[in-house]
Amino acid sequence: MRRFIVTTIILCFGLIVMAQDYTKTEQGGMHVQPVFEGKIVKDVNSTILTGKAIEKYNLTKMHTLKLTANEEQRNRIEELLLKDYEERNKYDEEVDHEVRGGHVYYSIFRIAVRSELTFPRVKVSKTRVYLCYQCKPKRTSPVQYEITLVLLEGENLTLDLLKQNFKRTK
Amino acid sequence: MNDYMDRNEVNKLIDKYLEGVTTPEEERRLAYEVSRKDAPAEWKAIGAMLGQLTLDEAEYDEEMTRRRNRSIWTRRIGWAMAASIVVVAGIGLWLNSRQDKQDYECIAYVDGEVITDETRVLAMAEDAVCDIFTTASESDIDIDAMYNIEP
Repeated sequence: MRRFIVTTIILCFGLIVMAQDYTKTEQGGMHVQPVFEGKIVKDVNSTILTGKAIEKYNLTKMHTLKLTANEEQRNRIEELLLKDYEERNKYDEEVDHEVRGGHVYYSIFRIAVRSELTFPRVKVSKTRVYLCYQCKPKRTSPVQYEITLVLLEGENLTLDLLKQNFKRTK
Repeated sequence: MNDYMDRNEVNKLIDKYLEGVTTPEEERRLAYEVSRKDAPAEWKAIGAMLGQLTLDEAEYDEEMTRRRNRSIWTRRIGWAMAASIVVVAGIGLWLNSRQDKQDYECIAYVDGEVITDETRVLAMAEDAVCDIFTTASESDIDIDAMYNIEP
C-alpha cells in the first residue's frame, strides 16, 4: 500500500512537471528595459496590451512608451538602444535604421531573444520581438526630444508584415 | 475459505458426513475445518476418515482463493493508480489553459492617470506605432526622391 502511494505521488508529480512550459524568453534582459521602467525619464506615457485586442496585428504583446527627454536623457536612451541594436538578431537581418545629424532618427529591428530550453522538454520559441524607436526634436529652448519606444511581440512576425499592418490603420 | 466456521456448525457438518449425505464441496470444507490447529481430538479422527486426498484438496482450494483475492486487489490498485494519474493530468492541463485565458492586459498610464478603456488604450498604442512606421516610410520616400528612384 505504501509503495502504491509513493509510486502514484511520483508519477503525478512528474506529469505536473511535464505539463508546465519551461521555456523562458529573456526580453527582460534588454538594455532599454530601464527606459520602459521609467528609470531614465520618470514621466512617461505608456500603454501595455496583450490578448485579443491586438490579435488582428498578429501580436501577443504591445508595449508603447512616449516621453519627452532633455539632451542628456536622449543620449542615455540612445546609448542603450544602440547596445540592443548591436546585439540584434543577426540571423535574419530585418532592420530599418536611420541616423541623422549623428543621432538615431528612427530604428526598427528584431531583437535577439534568448530562449532557455530546460529539462524535461525542448521547445523552440517562435516568438519574435521587435523594438521600434523614434526621436524627434521639439522646438523648445533648451532643446527637448520627443521619443517613442515600442516593443512588439508575436509569433511569425516580419518587418514587412508590421509595416503593412501599421501603415494601413493610420 | 478464509474464515473458520464456529464449532456448532462444524459438528453439524460432521454429523452430516457420518450420515453420508455431504457433497464433495462440504467434505472439502470439513477437511479444512478439522485440520485447523485448535481442532479437538474427535475432529482429527474425522480428518483421518476423510483421507489425505481430501485434506490436500482443501488446502489447495484455500491457496487458490488467497491468490485470486490478491490478484483482484492488484488489478484494482492498478486501475486506481491509472485513474488518479488521469485526474491529476486533467487538472494540470485545465489549470494551464485557464492561465493562458487570463493573460489579457489592456492598460495605459497617461500623465499619472490610469486608463483601462480598451478603445482608448488601443488608439493610443496604434498612434505610437504608426507614428514610427510612417516616419520610416516617409524617410524611404525622401531617399528615393533624392536619388530619383521610382517607388
